[in-house]
Amino acid sequence: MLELSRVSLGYGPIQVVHDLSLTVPDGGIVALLGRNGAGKTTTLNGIYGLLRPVSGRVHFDGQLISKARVHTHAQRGIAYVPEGRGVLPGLSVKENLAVSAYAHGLNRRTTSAEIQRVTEHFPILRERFAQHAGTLSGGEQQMLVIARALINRPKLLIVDEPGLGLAPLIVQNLYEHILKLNREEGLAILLVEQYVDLALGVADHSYVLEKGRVVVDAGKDSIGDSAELIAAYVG
Amino acid sequence: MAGLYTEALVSGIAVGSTYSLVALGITQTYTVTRVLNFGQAGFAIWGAYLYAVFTKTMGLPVGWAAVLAIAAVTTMGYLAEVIVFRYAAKASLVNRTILTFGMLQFLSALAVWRFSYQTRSAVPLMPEGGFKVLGTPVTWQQAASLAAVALVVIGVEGFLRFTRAGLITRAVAEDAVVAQILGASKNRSGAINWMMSAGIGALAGVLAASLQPFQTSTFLEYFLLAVVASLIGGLRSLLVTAIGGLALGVLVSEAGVKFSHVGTAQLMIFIGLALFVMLKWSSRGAGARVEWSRPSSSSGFSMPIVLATWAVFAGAWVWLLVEAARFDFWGQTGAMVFIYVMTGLSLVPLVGWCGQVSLAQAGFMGIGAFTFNIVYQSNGWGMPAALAVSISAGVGAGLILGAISCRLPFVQTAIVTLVFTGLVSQYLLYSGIFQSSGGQIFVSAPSYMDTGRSAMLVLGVAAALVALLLANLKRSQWGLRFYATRTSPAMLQHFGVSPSRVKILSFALSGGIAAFAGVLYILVVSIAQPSTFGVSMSLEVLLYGVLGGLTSLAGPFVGSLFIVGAPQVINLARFGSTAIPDIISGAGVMQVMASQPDGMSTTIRLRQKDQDRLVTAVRGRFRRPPERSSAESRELETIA
Repeated sequence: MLELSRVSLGYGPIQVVHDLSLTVPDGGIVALLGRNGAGKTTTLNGIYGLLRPVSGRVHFDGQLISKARVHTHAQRGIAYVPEGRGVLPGLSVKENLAVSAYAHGLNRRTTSAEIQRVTEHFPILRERFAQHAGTLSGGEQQMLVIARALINRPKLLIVDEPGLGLAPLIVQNLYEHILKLNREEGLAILLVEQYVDLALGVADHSYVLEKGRVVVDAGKDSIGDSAELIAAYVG
Repeated sequence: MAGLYTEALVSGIAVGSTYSLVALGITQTYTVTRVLNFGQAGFAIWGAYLYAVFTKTMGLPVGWAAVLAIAAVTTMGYLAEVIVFRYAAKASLVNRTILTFGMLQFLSALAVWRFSYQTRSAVPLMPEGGFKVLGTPVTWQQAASLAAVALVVIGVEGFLRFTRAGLITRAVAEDAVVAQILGASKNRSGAINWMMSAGIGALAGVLAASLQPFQTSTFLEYFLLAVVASLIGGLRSLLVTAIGGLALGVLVSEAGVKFSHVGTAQLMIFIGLALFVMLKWSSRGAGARVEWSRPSSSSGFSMPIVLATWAVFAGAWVWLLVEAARFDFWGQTGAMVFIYVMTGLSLVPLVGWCGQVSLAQAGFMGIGAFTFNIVYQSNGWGMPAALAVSISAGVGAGLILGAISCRLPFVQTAIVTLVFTGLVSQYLLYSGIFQSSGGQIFVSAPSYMDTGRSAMLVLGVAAALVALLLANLKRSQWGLRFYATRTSPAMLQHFGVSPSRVKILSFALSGGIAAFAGVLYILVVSIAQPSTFGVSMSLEVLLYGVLGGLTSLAGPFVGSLFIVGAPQVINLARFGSTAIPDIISGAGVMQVMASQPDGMSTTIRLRQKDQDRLVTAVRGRFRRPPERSSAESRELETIA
């Protein structure tokens, strides 16, 4: 579904990610791990077009998307939940959800139906429809952005550090939802996470980045024994 | 008498409707893009001119003329977004705001070039006649102006609140990156927003043209009050902005009846605005960094390009000097070039080093010129004393303006300095302080400046002295403080230096140099009116400075020669129009702000890697071999 071939990314003269190759299969969950500054978020930004690759190619469903404009990614079926939640704080919860649908040209009736559908996973959001998104708690904001990403029935969900700044119980709850989405709706997921145990618990395949290079590329069964994984985190 | 006030109220509301509409366009653009769009006045100018041409010259029915004018200007708004603002997408907000100064200059100069400076009139949109409200006559035109404001407020609010495109527009305004991640096209939202703003501006133009005869300068005055109205609305609320515009219209109109002195309303507005912005925004700007676009690390050009550019500019200066020695006309041109060099230099410490913005330079120049008139011409003081008093007056004005602006964010500083210029040119220079009956002054130049070439020589020496002064200042502790105020005011505070004080001093220095330029200006042109030192001159000065580049002292020398000198050559080549320099500078500033934040002076700067290579080569060529110690020498001799 998603394929990165020898992708290099950077900011001006500074190169952050070097020759990264990565694949997310249909319906699979892939984790991208690494310490702070390893290049995880840069990689996601490169996939989503927020950063243009210096070299290499990004394909989605066989189409080259390395040079596509940011807003077209959502239309192709990729949803991105950026680090730091990314709610639109001045809009209400319902408006946050509706923006995504309207941007895809859905009419009001279909939008309402879609909002009802995605909030089935997160019923608390229904009680907050009229509330400004900026006033929600951290956990609720994270639920909102994940629900918002699901509005247009994406094929691939990219999530950057969903547990950042949240209490462990809430993170656990979020992961249950993510796993449910994968199992029930066949949604492929590319996950960046600082909680390694949680990520390895749900991922079918994991990549570990260190200083912008892949040092571990392993399946669910073999990743736990990887000495490089420990080295990448502990140093 | 009461009837006069009521009539003034009605006509004030009608004129205030135009302020409101221009202000609504400004607020609408600001809400979505965070850019204070000075180009909004340009859209109003074109709306008015096109409507006048359609009705008067082509004889179209008024309804069709209005629709066509608004449609044409709406298309201009679309083109402005697609051609200019998408191109400048990576420039900082400050640079994009300056870019809109260029757009205003470009659009108004283009209108002058196409339709001439002359006052125009149009067929009123509404039929003659009207009705009475509480015994006061109201024309249909006046009523239509007020209705237009109400409709625009309802229409725009309705669009933003109740339509799908409106929600997407609000999402883009909240966070453009997140909105794009959700699939919203930032470009499409931008285009819709610019088209709406341009359409509202054009409507303002059509209504203004229907109310009274107009020139391009009419809309600059409207714009001055419109930005104040936008500030009253906090650059957010459409309703409060509209009410603010109407209130300002009423204030100006009523003050015209109550007070005999010209510009009393402007004085009241300036004082009110100063208090308002100081109370509302003063806590936010002191330690805040002004985000100008920084040149990239590869800023500068390769050796062949730099050498060629140096050759062109040096050749042009030599050519100007030679021609000035032969023909007095070129001496006059050279003198004007040096005046703009001086005004550019006055902006270097304030804008280039300190990172502030100033649309007050024409005001400072006016204060300098008019003070010099009193002291030198009327009271017969000697040149040195008169110069000292005039420059001190500029410094004093700079201190006052600096004290008001030192803690304000960028946009508010731009507005305050703009209104300051309006106050000086419309009130202060007419007041008794400057003893100018009817406002006009005449100053005869001393004998050593009575020809073009001698004036050019004197101005050249003055500009060189000021440049030398600034170069020394740049190398001093104060130079560092100026730079730190631009790049890291919080760090400056950390080291116990107040950025506010540095800003006030930079305003004072800038005011002094600009007042000096004003003195030299009046000595060269001999005759001037308060309106000479108005908003359009302030815009010109800033744009010429930005075009040349204000971070280096070379910028004003490069930019002024290009802007003032080149059009003279163009005029000689019979492409002539006095609007050409403004068209060039307007387009040039848009290009420079989008791509070269350090201005044209970047073209005479070597890129970093070539500088390093050159330094290495020069060091290698001239480095002496390392001296040997006596022990080493003895060892070598033994070996030998």
